[in-house]
Amino acid sequence: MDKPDFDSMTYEQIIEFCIGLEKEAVAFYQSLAEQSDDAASKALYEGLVKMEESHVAKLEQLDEEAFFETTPTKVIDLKTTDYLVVKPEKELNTQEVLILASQREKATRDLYETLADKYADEPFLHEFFTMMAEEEAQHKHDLESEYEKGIMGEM
Amino acid sequence: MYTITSAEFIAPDVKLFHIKAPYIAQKHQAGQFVILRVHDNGERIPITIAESDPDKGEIAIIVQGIGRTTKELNMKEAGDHLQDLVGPLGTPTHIEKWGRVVIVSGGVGTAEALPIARAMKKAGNHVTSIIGARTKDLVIAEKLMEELCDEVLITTDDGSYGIKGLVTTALEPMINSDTPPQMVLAVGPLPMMSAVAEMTRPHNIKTVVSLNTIMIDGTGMCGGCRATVGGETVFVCVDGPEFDAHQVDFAELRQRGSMYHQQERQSLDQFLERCKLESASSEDTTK
Amino acid sequence: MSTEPNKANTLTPKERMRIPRQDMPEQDPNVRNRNFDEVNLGFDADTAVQEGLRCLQCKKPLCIDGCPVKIKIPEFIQLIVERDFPGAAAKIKEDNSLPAVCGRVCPQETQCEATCVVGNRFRPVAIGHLERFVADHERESGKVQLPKKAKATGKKVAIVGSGPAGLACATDLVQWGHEVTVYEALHEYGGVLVYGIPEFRLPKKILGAEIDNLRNMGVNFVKNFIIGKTMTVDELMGQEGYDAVFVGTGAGLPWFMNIPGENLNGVYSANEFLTRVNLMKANNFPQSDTPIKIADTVVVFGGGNTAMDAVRTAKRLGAERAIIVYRRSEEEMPARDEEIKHAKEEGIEFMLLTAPTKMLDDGKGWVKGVECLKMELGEPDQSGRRRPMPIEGSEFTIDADLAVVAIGNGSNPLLAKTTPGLKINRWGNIIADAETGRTSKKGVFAGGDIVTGGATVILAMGAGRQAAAAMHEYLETGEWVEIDG
Repeated sequence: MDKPDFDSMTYEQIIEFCIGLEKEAVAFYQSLAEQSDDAASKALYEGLVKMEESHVAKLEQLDEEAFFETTPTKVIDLKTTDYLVVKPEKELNTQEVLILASQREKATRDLYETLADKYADEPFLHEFFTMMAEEEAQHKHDLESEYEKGIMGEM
Repeated sequence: MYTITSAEFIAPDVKLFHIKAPYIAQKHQAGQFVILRVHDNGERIPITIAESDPDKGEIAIIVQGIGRTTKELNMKEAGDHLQDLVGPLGTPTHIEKWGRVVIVSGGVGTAEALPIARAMKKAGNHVTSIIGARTKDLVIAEKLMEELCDEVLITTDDGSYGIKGLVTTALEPMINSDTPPQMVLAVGPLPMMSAVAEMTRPHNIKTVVSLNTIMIDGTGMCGGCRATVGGETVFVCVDGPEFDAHQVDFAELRQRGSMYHQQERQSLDQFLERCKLESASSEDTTK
Repeated sequence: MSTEPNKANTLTPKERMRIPRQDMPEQDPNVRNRNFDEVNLGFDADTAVQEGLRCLQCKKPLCIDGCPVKIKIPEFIQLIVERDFPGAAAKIKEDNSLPAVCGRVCPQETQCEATCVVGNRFRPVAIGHLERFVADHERESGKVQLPKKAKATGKKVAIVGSGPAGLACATDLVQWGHEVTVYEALHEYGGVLVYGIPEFRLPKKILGAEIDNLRNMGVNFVKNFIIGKTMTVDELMGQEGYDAVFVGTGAGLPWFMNIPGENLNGVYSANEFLTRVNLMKANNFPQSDTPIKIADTVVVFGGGNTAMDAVRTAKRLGAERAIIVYRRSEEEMPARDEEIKHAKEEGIEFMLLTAPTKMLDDGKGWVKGVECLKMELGEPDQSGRRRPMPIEGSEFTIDADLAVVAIGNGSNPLLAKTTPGLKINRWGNIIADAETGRTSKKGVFAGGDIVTGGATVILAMGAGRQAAAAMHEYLETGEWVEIDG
């Protein structure tokens, strides 16, 4: 994912861009869910679809009141998959999906962090993007924990 | 025990075997292979099944004596046994009605292409076979291909038979014709398969190659057969042996295929030396 | 030194605990790291009796709780002390059909010996070494007792895979009078015991003797036969007339790390590296036809038993430097304590808190080194082990001309793919009831690594035996209970 030039974009364009990104993620996990023949993988991908759908909703609403009811927590970055390489061209197995999904979440987290910095002077937007970044970080953490548990037991 | 019911040379150093293997014969589909061992200290080698007869409970394989194991195997005669034989392995060829199908084969690859040609024909395709060889003596299975296909073209490097040139010499005009093939399948030596892939790539013609890598178990357990296809690691034994030719990393395959060249040479030399000694000593005793 | 049986029973607990744990005689480290003979030489009878005397014969023996198959440990040890070695063997075999194997490969320090009461103050009783002694003594005496077989039931059972789970399952079912056939994909029987565990840890002739015992008990063995390819599970239960099937195919799909350069020449999975040596005898090349790359410096990624087996094999093949690279510290290593100790004695180097990030190409397609990152341990994960975290900017390179990836195995999908109605989870493991091994498909049971993912020989055997009991019940009653999920 190439980082867009946020400075040349309007606020609306940025939100629009983020919504597009989240929708892409929804489609990505949805297609994985459709392709997988075993129930467990399907469940994993469908869970990810739901998470990303909730992000679309949050971006579409940008509801200040609802937002301040939640408090973000700092998520630890395991970095398990940061150095790994998977090309998304073929039918993926669980290992490859976890790597790819983790890296996707990382890229999105980085993007929201950039936006949080950009809106450092606007409390709501700053908090909002910080929270979005933390949620993506949480997804990355969950996916990498799964990777640690499933693949790296002897490493 | 796996009994060889017939064994005959069909070209220099190329031998056709029929082997009793009722379960494998029952299950075999085009594109699949077996793994065998010749004797108790032998290595496990994959060989594509050329033919199967479920009624007789037999499979056929065609072996070119190149390395130690294949040379040793080609010394076997009818009535002899193989130490081990297991299969059928690999994912069968994807057969469908494409329209015009060209099957390009070289060396013993032609034997491997026979069941594919049969299945493609049965699915209603117009099937053309291009058989390539260095020289006339090395052309195998031409008659069998003629029975199965609509058209058979032969190419020889030295022009001693058929078209002078490589398989691509025969393939090129087909690709550029008004009725190009919808599907090209190549089975044979790596350089040949790679050349076919490069020729069809600009025309976007679906092209499949059948890879022959080093293997041990053949069930996905060791990963020795891995190759890169579309940037992804695949296990040829279970994910293949057939892959989209335009996605295959041929350079890596060549590299991996050469992994044991030195040891293979050493093993073959030792074997040939032993054969020489044995034949010398048997001459002594006959004197 | 010989101890009279009558005297043995008069020892007080204090006196028993005063006896030091008997050391296992071993080949000298600098000799054995150049050969493939067994490292441990085994107790002699007197040493075994002396070690047996250390057992307190607890009224409520905690060691049994630590044993996955619940061997009657104090009872067999008492028989050793009484020098009734055949009796001790018979006692173990009531619960464990492969004592010569388990005595060698079980992680006793986390099982029976972990809960041994002597171990609270001193070193625990060497239960594993005693089990091994009893099994070896019986085999070497040539008077192996075969358990009695029940009257034939007329029921046929197929066991898929001749590894620990399958063998344990077969042993019980054949004793209970069922006709048992074991199908094996490779050309030798034993599964991971033959292709995975090296000769220097488990000699093949010992495994062979155990298989012969099973054959003598009436188990049929079929090799070079792949269920899922040569024949399907449905065909076994259809045309072949099997009443039940046990799937114990193990975790036969090596994980790679997905770092750049993993397909370079000279990079092996542990499965391939070990199979070339253990099953194909590449260490005897060119007398054996299968080659293996001989290297000066070998790096092995992983901290489990498989990694230890691979690195010690590399050393024996002639490597000057054989190095373990592991992301965590020694404390977190899943390998048996004895394997880590033996590896160190043999000159294996340990690079801990190190994660490989890239394999380096020598320009000709061969591996020439590994780029690594230093790690530090963070918070504990679900397994309780502290998590390794990369330290930014700590990159460094290890020069090596051979690398072995021993991070673990996933489940081989070959059988499940061709068995409609057999449910698997996202890791490809067959979903089976933990108590009975019942799967989602009627008449089909499963156990061992194919259900749990990579675990130990003894856990697989335990699962095989539990499934055998459930299969027996199913064969007798015909009652099938659907599993959840």
